[in-house]
Amino acid sequence: MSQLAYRKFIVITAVLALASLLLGSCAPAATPTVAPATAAPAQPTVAAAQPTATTAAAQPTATTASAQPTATTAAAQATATTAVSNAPVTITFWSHDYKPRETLDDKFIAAFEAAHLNIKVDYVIGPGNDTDYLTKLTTAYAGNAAPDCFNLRASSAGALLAAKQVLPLDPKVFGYATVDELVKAYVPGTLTGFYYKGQLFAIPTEVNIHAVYVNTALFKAAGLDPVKDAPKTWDDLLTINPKLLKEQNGVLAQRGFDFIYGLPDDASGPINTLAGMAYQLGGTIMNADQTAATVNTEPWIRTFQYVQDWVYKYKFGGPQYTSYYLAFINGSEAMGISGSFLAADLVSQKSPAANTYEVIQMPRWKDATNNTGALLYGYGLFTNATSSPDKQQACQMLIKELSSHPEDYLKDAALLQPTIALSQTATFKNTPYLNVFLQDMVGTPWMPVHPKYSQIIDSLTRALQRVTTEQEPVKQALDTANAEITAILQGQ
Amino acid sequence: MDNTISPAKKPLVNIYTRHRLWGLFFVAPALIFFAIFCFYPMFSALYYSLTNYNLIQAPKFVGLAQYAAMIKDPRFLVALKNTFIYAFGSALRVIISLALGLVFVRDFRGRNVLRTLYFAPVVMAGVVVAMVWRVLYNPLGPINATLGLLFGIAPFWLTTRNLAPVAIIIINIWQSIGFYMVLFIAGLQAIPVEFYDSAKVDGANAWARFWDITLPLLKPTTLFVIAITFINSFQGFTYQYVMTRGGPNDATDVIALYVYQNAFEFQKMGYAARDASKENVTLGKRCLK
Repeated sequence: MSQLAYRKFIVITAVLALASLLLGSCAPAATPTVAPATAAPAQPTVAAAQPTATTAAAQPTATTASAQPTATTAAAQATATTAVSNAPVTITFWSHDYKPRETLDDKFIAAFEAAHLNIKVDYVIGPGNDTDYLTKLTTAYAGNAAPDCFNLRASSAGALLAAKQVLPLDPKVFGYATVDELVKAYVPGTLTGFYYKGQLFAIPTEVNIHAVYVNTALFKAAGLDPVKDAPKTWDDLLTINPKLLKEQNGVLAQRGFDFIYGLPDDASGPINTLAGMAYQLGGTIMNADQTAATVNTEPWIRTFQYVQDWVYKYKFGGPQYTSYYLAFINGSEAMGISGSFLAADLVSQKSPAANTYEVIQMPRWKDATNNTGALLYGYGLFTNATSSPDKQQACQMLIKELSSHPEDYLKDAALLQPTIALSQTATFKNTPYLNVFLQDMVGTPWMPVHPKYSQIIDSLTRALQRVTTEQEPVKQALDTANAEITAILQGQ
Repeated sequence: MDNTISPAKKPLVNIYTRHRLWGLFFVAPALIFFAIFCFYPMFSALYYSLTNYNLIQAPKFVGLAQYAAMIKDPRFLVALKNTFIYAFGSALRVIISLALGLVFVRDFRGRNVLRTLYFAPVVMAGVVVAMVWRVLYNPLGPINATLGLLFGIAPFWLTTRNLAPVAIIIINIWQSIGFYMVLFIAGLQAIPVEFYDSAKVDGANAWARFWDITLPLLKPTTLFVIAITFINSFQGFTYQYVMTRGGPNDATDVIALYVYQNAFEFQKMGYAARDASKENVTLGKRCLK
């Protein structure tokens, strides 16, 4: 190439590069805009504005499934309605992967479309992993391709809520004059996690808490009584667990109980359980105004030390083994922590434990200050604030439909949509072990909702990994996590 | 009758300009492709690295604040160190694939079948490979079963800080040696046989022929393979994401994974763009060297 031609080539390339730079600077990525809300809901009087790791504002009065508020409360619905548009509209609805729930969603969406011929629902299933699902959702928001409504874990919604990308619920769509009346249709405290700054943003598709599933066949094979020998305290676990272990070539082929360590295969994250253990001793993740972390306090040190000793001192398990969820399903773990959804997965995945399990409460510390289990969490149906008003209205009508069949979701998908009406059904009363989950929900706080929730949980999970894979001193690991989380909370 | 010859009409563009325009016309599709898929993303990343964009709200200009944070970010430095370890560890495949090339350039029975078997992992999707190897690396999996039988050991491959990077480097080498082997075979086949014949006549042994003829004449291919190896290794993401998510304790956290996590899990797109810009510069420097 001659020198002149070379120079011209460089000039052309530079011009193209400059044009790209100008394009990139002058046309920033499409960012969602906030569409005006269709209705301003009334301020709730029941729940606290922002859930923190303190007890839920409204203590449920029920301690067992049967002791629920009377049917008159559920029946006292306002007849308030909102004007419905008949214009044809297609809405996109996303939910995460969970086969038992998807089957029901398909059925009720079809019924909804049949009842509202002008509304078409495009149902999309996203990843089952919360982090991957949120990644896909926020990327869709950035590309102006976010769904009109979506199912999302409450604690993952912080960033969207802070950026006003989610619409508050319109109680009139649900047949209530005010949000307060809508809330009264639910077991007290079970909607707390769906509030942000005093507004209710979602109706739950499930409210859950972790309990311990016990494989009764493995217990009996080890000479243990699944009822009498089931652990009630963390100390009990240390006594019972050795009897349930089986080794092969120096590696555990069967475990008794094991913790969640934040592995890629885990169905849930580890922090629900660990935060619950710390809360039993009075520990929280952050202070009440969410300006500083509190994870290097004594409750957290005791909790992490217990887990570290579990791995290194007692050698009862660890992150090197198959995820607890898969291990319980495939019958190589005698006890597994999970929410109510594991019951449906045991059946759908034809687990050897499908018909030989019981559910017990999460163990307690002997000197526990709070008689609670793991922290509460839930998934809810949210509406995109950037969608058109017609689509928002259609979405809230769809949400009403999907939240009107709690009995079906409980029976076929083992998901609890905690309405008072549900608590009076035979399905509710006959669902095995539901009372175990409900008892632990009483007085238990929710996982916190924060715009930087992912970073906070990542910091704690990495502290757990340092403690369980490198035997880092617990105080040191938690001091590091505390400093990281405080910096995150203070916006650094 | 007018017998004058009218002068030929002067063309609008001269022949040289026409040639240049045709040249531009033929390279235009490639240039447009590069402009859209290479330059635009690169300069967009540069722009976003100067903002605090979080995917949900409009980007806000913050100047060099992200770069200042990068200098102080210990996790970024760990990810950068791990990326270099991963890249240099994976460079072992250059030697392995050269050795395989030397073997398979000869003609012998079953050569084509064996070559195909060595190449087969190259065409597999990285996610599939990662998931299969995760099962193989299971404490109760076949690798540990074999090691237990032979040596009485059963290491925890993916959860031991020093072993996890090695485990992933092994997969990277295993999946890619077939591709580089083919490149080396092509390079070896381009070396004239007469050089080897002359060397034999002069009494050169096999090692002398390899050292004095094969290696020097294979230099262009070797340089190309080394460059591609490093570029691919610096872009490593799939195995780490599927198998360890950067753990245990950041031992397998590489730049690409760190960028992804910041951009999409933490919604710190501006911060991630800053990391991506830094990686572009590092890769560019490597290639120019």
